[in-house]
Amino acid sequence: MFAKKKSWLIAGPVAVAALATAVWLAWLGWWSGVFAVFGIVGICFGIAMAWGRSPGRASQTTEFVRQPGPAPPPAPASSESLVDVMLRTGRYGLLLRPQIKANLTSSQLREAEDQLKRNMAKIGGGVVALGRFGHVSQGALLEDGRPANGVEFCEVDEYYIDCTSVTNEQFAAFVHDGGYSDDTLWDPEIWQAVPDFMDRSGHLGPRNWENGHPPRGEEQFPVVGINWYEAAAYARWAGKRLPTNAEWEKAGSCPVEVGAGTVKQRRYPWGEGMDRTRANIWGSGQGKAVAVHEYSKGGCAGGIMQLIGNVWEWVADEFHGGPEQPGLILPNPMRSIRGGAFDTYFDNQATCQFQSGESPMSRKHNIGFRCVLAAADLVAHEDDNDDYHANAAEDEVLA
Amino acid sequence: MTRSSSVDLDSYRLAQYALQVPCYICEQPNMFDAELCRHCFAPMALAQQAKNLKTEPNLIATIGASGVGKTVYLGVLMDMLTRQSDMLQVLARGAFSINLQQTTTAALQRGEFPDKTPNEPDRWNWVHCQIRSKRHTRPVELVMPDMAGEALLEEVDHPRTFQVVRSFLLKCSGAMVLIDGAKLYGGTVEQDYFTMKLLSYLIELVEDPKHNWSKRPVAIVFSKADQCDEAFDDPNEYARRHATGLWRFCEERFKNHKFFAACVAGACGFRDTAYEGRQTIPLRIEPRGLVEPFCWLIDQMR
Repeated sequence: MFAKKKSWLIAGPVAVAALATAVWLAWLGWWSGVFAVFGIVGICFGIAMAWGRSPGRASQTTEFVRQPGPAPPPAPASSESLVDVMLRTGRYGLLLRPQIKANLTSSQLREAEDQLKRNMAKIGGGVVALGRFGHVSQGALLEDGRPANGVEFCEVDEYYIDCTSVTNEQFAAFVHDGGYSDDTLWDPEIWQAVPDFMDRSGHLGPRNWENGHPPRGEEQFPVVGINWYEAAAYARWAGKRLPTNAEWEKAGSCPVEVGAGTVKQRRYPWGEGMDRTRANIWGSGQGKAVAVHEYSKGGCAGGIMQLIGNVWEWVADEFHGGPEQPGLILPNPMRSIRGGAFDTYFDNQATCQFQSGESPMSRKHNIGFRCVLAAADLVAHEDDNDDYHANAAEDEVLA
Repeated sequence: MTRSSSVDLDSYRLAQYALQVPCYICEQPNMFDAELCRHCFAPMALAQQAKNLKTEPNLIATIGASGVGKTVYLGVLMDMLTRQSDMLQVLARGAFSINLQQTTTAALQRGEFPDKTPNEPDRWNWVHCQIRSKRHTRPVELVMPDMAGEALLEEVDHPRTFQVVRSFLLKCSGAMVLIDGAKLYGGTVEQDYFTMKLLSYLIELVEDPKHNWSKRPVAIVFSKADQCDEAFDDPNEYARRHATGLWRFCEERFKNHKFFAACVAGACGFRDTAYEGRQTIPLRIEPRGLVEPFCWLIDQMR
């Protein structure tokens, strides 16, 4: 508003002066007066336009059109700044796709690769025995293809997994980028319900936020109060996806093939026993979620933090009960959540193997998520040699 | 030929039998070695322990309809306060006081809810404990039974059916009234009515206007609130919206009451069993809002 007012302050007096000059010239001659009026009005218009377009005025004009609610990121002026905005908001997963790579400059590509290395851990492909720990052997298969000993082995391709849960700050970038309004990010079956995914003050966003912003001081806390669809939409926006049960479990339990058809898996990322100084569960005494970089002692090979405790994590798969819940009947369809949370009471419910379920529409105070990227979806990184399996095997030998 | 033999002198035992010990709950006389009161079936250990204490124990009732979650609430609350709490610390008195938390947590850890509390008072679990808190210098002695919901209903409908319920509620310093928050959210009004009946019974129980229940602290707890998260945001507003009758009743009749929300399981499923049909099972245990009503009651009692 201020920008508009100031331009009139300049143009007004100039126009009055022009009118006075025109009247004076009219005394001298009719035609010369008309020319003088047109000329001076033209000069005034030019000055006013030049004032409005000056670079220093741009932010004030933006302020004038700003809508109430969370501030959107500044619109990129060219394809180069669009990439910069994507890099700043952590959407390197999209930029590293082979289809987009060609449009990046070498520095942008380097920055995207650096972000990938900093924020995600590479997990090698291999097998994982779902819901089991210790030495697990693959049994014979029955006629219908099910394993005779009930142990389900899953083959997982190489992938990257977020080192930490998605934080409030990261999710805010999605919210402010209009993620809730972009239909392409959401499953069609949920389109009608998306406008209801509001925070305490009625703005679109996680349930515990206010006025489109996370609680003050909790920017680095895991985002919670989001349902499964919101987590999936964020993952799509970031160019990633939610992990499968097998991917999540493989990242934490570090399966090592110790013989033909036999793997050794850990119960916790750090070993076989619960250590409450390494994970934020009820027994740790915090009583609330903490920032994603705390409890670093509980991290596993590759720098993956807080797989156990702090907040449950949505995974992509539907929940049908783990091996410890035979014959489970669910009141409604559920999605799996993994890892336990700050209020998980029993140690045996915060392990790499335990899984629980929650309605995909629930927006609970203790459920967050992290994302994965299939290595096959990315450009080849020849210099990337932080092989997860090598680390896991090395840890195993040291143990 | 004569042989000498020793015969125990049991006169002291006869003397003990002659002196009757009053039950701590119903105050009726019992034998000194009775395990349970022969009138109300409360454990006589309570009377023995109370006799040796300098301060008289306070009684707190946990009441509510059958299946509302009283056993799970009390069992987990006691376990939480025993294991760790910044606000309060609980020290059990007597082995019988640990039974409730032991059976409850063992069942929950197995992925089941504990068995329904039987109607017979001689099979109820009682807790006698000492409560210590940083805010208060003097510890509080507390007695809490895990009463069966059906016995409560029977006593409310037909007063004096369960002497132990009546005697206990007469002596209580405060109560935690549990209501199934999930059922209220689903529109079932049965919970609302039953709780109003229970509270009406309390109001009518004590005739003395100076000591009747309208002045005693009552914490009304919406249990199973994991299925209705909004109860945690504002329990009073939740009561006004979903249990209007109860909310009005409390506003009118109880001068010292407060609404709370609590849950023990994060989510639930079902399992079919051969003998007991379809059973509800917890998918994970993450207690929330259990300690707050209890702390509030303790503060009010002081």
